[in-house]
Amino acid sequence: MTAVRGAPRDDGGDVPPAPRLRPPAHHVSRRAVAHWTIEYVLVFGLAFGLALGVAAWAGSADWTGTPGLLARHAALLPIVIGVAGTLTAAIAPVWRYRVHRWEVSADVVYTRTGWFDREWLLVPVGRIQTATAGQGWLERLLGLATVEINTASHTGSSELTGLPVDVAVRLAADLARRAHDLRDDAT
Amino acid sequence: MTGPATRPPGERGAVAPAGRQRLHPLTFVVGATRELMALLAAGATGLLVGGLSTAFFFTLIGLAFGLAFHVTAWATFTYTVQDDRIELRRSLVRRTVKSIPRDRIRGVDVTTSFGHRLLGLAVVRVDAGADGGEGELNAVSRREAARLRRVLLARTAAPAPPRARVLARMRRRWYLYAPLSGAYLLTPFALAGSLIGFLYDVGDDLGLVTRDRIARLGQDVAGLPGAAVVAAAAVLLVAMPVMSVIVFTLFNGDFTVRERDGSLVAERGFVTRRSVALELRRVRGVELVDNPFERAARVVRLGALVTGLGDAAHRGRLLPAAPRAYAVDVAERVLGPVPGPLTAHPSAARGRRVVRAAAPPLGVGVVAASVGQGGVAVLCAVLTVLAVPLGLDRYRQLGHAADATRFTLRSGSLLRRQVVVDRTAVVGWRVRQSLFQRRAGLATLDAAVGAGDGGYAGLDMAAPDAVAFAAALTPDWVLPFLEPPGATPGGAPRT
Repeated sequence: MTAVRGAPRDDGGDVPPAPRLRPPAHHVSRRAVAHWTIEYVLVFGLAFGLALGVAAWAGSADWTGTPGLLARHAALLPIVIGVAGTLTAAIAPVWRYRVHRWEVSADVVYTRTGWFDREWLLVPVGRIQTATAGQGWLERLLGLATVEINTASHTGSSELTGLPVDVAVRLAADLARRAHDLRDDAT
Repeated sequence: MTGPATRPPGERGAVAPAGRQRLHPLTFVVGATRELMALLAAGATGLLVGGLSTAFFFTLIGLAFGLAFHVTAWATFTYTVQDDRIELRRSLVRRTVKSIPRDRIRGVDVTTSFGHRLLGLAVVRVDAGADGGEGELNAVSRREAARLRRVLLARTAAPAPPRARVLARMRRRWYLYAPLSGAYLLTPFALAGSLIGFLYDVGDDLGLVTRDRIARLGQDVAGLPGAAVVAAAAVLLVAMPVMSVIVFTLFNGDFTVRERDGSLVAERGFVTRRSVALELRRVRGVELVDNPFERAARVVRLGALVTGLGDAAHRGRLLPAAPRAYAVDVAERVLGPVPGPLTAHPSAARGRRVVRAAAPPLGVGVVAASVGQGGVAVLCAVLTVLAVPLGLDRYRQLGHAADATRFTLRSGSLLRRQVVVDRTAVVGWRVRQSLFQRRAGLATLDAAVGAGDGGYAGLDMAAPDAVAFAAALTPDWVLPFLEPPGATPGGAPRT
């Protein structure tokens, strides 16, 4: 604890005793909830279908020994996936909407993402290499877009999902321009 | 070979029209040697077995084609060092010009294999960071290689007089550390494997390998008396460390690191002498790596974290196994003072390390036991018990420290790794917190770095510590986003 607290800096000031990151200022679009819900339903629907197939196949196969034990319980698989999928699709999108936030200050992009596990990401604009706004087919239907921010490091690269299209396009263009102006040599 | 005659003639080497330089004329000798050897062997065998057969003439034709190809490849390849770039032209079938801007060049790697050394040649690889941004000159004279390295890595037009300073030199005694790192212990197996594979291939080509003979060989081996097997195992046990020292010495012999004209030049190897030059201002950090055996012997391997360096594990190496104090000393000469002492991570992290080490074998064991696989379950139980001390050690090795200009993070047990990174190399901070970490008041801090692996994690730091660590190193980026003291918590990391 002591080793990380450096001497006060002329440009920064003292680090408070138990610093906490505050949430970023902006929510993503409300339509992002619909986007995530549809995505979860599609993915879990596919998994459910596959599980049904596996269960039917395992039930009809006549194995002996240990795999027979698995075969007797194979019918459980679609049930487990169905319950997990329903719960996830019901809870996760709203939870994610509450967590997902973003903010662009004068020189730093600050995002918070995740739901069960959370991530706070701070990327200075001067270290951004590319900023791209993109839309998948589902996002296009809902009028949403994703901004991809790339740095020289994969760990420092991030995605801002669920932004309204006009905001995303403006943000990407703005970041790219400012990154060019502020670019410094960390690569 | 016609080109604009405006370029100044090159300094040295076989001069092609208009300042373009060719590779060394002896190049095709080395290039063709491998094919020659194989073809000569096949041709001689063909001559012995079947006299002047068609196979023999085909071999001769193949030989001629191979030579012609190498001569043509040599004649149609030129390179030009210009003020702002180096151009590699190839016009064998398709004309290609590869142009590498000189300010993008991040390293120049000079390798001399045994064959090259006999002929006084060297292979020069120019590393420019981006994908496909690598140029190879195979091969030039060793003087030309030294000149290219000097010219390509010098930022100013006029190359400064070479002012070399030896930063590190390997002592002879350190070759004995070779058996400590697992990789070199396995070399006898690798050698034996490739030898058997080679014999099998040659024998198969000559029709000497039959199902019958293999079966008989198998029976012979199975029929060996127990004493012979024990003796063979004993020989192997003795051979492993001895061989590892020999191989290690061949690869790393006389390992020397020099500083010259703003570059680090690391040279190593007895048979194949390899020399890697790294631009010093692109060296943004170092890593100290060791395993439990090396830890017990207090030795450590040192590597450089360089921006945009391909094959960094080999090219960035600054010291093979060397005493820790010496390695730290070299690190400080390359980078500056290493921050310390390390701060231990909160004790809540201990439980997480142990659980994460023991859970996988435990889970597999429980499943195995429930389906009646007794043997697997027992094995998993043993692994689970072994995982506990591993997890405890993984916790013990966690640590972090920082000063005003750089920070250090350490983790890992079977392969412990401590990185020291310059704070200006950081391109972003990522704080991760799982539900379990949130309950334990922990968070993982990833420093995104545009060098080395791209990111280094401070595992399971106390959540406020993780934020304070980032804030202390880059206050401008972090302080604006801190909760004002005494404010209501808003879902951010907290104790």
